[in-house]
Amino acid sequence: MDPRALHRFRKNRGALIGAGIVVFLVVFALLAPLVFGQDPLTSDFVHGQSPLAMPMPPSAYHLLGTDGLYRDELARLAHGARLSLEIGFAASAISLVIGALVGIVAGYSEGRAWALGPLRITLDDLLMRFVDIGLSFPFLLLVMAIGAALDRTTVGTILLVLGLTGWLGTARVVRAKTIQIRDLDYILASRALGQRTWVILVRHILPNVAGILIIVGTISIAQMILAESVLSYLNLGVAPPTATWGRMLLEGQSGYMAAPWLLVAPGAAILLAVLGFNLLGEGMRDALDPKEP
Amino acid sequence: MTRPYLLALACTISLGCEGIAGPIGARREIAPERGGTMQLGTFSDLRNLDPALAFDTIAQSFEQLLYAKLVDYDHEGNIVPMLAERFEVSPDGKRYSFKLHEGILFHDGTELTADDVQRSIERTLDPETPCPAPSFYAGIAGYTEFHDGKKDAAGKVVFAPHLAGVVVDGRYALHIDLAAPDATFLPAATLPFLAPLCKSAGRKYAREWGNKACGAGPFRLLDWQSAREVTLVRHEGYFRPGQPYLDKIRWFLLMPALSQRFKFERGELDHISELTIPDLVSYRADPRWKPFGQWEPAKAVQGVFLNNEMEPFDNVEVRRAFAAAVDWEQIASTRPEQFIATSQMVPPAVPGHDPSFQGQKHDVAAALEHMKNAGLAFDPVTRTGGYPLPVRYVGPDGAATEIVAPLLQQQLSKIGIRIEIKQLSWPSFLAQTEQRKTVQLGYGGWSMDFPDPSDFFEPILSSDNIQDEESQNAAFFSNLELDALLKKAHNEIDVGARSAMYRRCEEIVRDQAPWAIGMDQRSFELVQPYVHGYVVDKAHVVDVREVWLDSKERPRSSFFGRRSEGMLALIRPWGKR
Repeated sequence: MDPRALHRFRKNRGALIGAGIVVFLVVFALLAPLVFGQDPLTSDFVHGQSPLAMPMPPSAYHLLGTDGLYRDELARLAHGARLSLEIGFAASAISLVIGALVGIVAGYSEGRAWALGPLRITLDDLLMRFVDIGLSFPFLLLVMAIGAALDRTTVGTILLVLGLTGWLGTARVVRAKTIQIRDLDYILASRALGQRTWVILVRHILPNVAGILIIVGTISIAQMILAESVLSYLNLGVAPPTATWGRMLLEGQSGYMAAPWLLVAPGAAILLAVLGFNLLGEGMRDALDPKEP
Repeated sequence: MTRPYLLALACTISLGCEGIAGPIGARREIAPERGGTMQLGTFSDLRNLDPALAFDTIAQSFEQLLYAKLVDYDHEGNIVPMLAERFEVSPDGKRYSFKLHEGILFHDGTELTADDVQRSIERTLDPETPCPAPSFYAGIAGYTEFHDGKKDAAGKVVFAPHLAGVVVDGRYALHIDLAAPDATFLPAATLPFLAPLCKSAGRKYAREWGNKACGAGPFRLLDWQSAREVTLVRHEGYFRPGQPYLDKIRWFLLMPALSQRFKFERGELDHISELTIPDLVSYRADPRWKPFGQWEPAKAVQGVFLNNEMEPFDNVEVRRAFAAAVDWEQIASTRPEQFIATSQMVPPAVPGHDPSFQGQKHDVAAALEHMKNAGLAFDPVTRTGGYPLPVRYVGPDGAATEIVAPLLQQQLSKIGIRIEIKQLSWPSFLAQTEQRKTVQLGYGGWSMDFPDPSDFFEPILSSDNIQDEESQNAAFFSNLELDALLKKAHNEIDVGARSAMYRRCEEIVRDQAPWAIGMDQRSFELVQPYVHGYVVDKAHVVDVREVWLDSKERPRSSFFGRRSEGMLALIRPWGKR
């Protein structure tokens, strides 16, 4: 890595806070279930149920209290964090791969066109119009349709749905960057020397868009986490009783007057995660791609 | 992040700080007075007010205001004449003779006569009317010829022009003949299906008429803004002199439970029964509200149906294991007083409920034994064995599924049955559970249509109600002894012999376990102190026919009044001290 980039990153307080939050979340997701040892799916009718059958507020038995079914809120939060991070990372990875592929191909394929009567259609046109159509399609409607078609939603399907719908924006950004690079002299030189196209793409273009990919990927993790929460909140996400932040929010809202911690805990977790990844992403952008605004 | 937690902690320790407002006004002992508008709310929507169709609870609440019936239940649960001045049953139990009050007026001002009664009954039972429950009246003589038709010599289906069993005996008298004695006829006759309708309803069902709704009930329809509000006004020609007392009823539709609560606190609703759980707990805990709240008698049973035609529940031992593994006391403890664990189909508000009956029992050891008998032995220590595949539980959206399903999942995992939960919208839930060999198990619930034990067996457990599509018998349970008993009990007039038969039915359900039972469910109702004459009884749902309002105790305008605590609580969720 460019030492100047590292330096810029270190000087950026927002980026450091973002990185701190992300590290904290990862550690929390990995270690909390081991440290606190509560099962997120087991109702505790002994210590988790108040005499009026309401959830218990934070106590020594349940550090963040219990939810409407007397399950440990902290354990659910930690498992929700695992799920959110898993979905966030994996869905971003899927969307990044597809987005990079489409973006580079579209950006590099200048001029090659098929004649369709009086029209000239380039590969770039074709791919980018597809992206336009995809971006104009209501995201939630699409996800609902896929969910209905699949009958049962699991972590895998949510991940695929988010990954397969999330690459459109990435493709656009990568294409713009590729167009910028493809006319530079060293690419021209490579082509003039008869280098094969895929080698040029992999050896020269990809390393130069990598910085942008890292930035887009980090920010898209935040978006994926948010999207997963939205889906769960709308009851379109992973089936109960799996703990996810969005579902915890949904389950907590009806009783927020009596048990506000059930709303505060998952709400704060979502806020923190999205904030953390956004700060980190922006910090990386400032560090890796200082010319971009 | 700590401050809200500390506040929450402080709040929950000192319960009662959630900012529920106290009652408005005081309750005085006063004579009934006329006047005033009563305001109510519901989170449901109203689809149709035609009594031939409407089967849902909310429609029935409106229909008891709009339509008067031949007979009705009184508050003690006896069937009494309503439009009829009197009625008689012949000694053989096959002829019911009704003598109508003279001079009863419909909402449109025309007189109600025996012809209108006959016309309305035939309209509801007409083969082209999409009535959901014509079979309630299948005992009327000539029903088959009229409703299902008979094949003539040429093999063509011919329908009788009239229902032979309903006979007009002059302007104000009629009798109804049954093909055989039928203990459910009178209870079913209290339902709005047989209510006499204005002449504008005609002889044939038409969908649009349901928006006009014209009957002889105490209130008539003034305005219906779809998905917003229904307004009813007093029927000045109501046949009971002096009644009803209210000038007007405004009933708000599709109003969320939380909005209802805030409006109730501000005096913008006079009655509330759809409370969220925390609100219910707060109101129950508040001594100021004690005199003004009451539990409705439990009229509904909940359980889990097990599909008898699908693996693994085609094996009676697995069904028994399931029924023994479920701890309904634990599930019911999540909603104290609202859910009541039971082991019989018939809920307490319905005759035939037997408090001494011993039904399915929670016993994990016995459940494991049943699993072993089924060849699916499960070792709870090593967690090996059991049924190898996950089974799918379907439930409708809402609290019933969100609470019951995860707890069932935890309880059944102790005997080696792994449950997957699928939550569906109400229409898709019905569509899937009513289809043959589609759903292994799911939420089973049944609310009373009329207070008779037959209503808790015949629709959901008799093999007559097994169909490939739209099967009411979601367990697809077919038992010859039960079928025969149900038929016999249906026509048995002797009360003692009849209860003995239903007791045997309960035993069959316990031993064959087509359902794991269960819990009774009831709701809590509150009225403001200035609301008088509101009675919660066994047979009616939110019945405001006899209500009057104390105009002195009721605030004129509540908008800028004292009810601001509710709004404050909205802004500060932890409420005020």
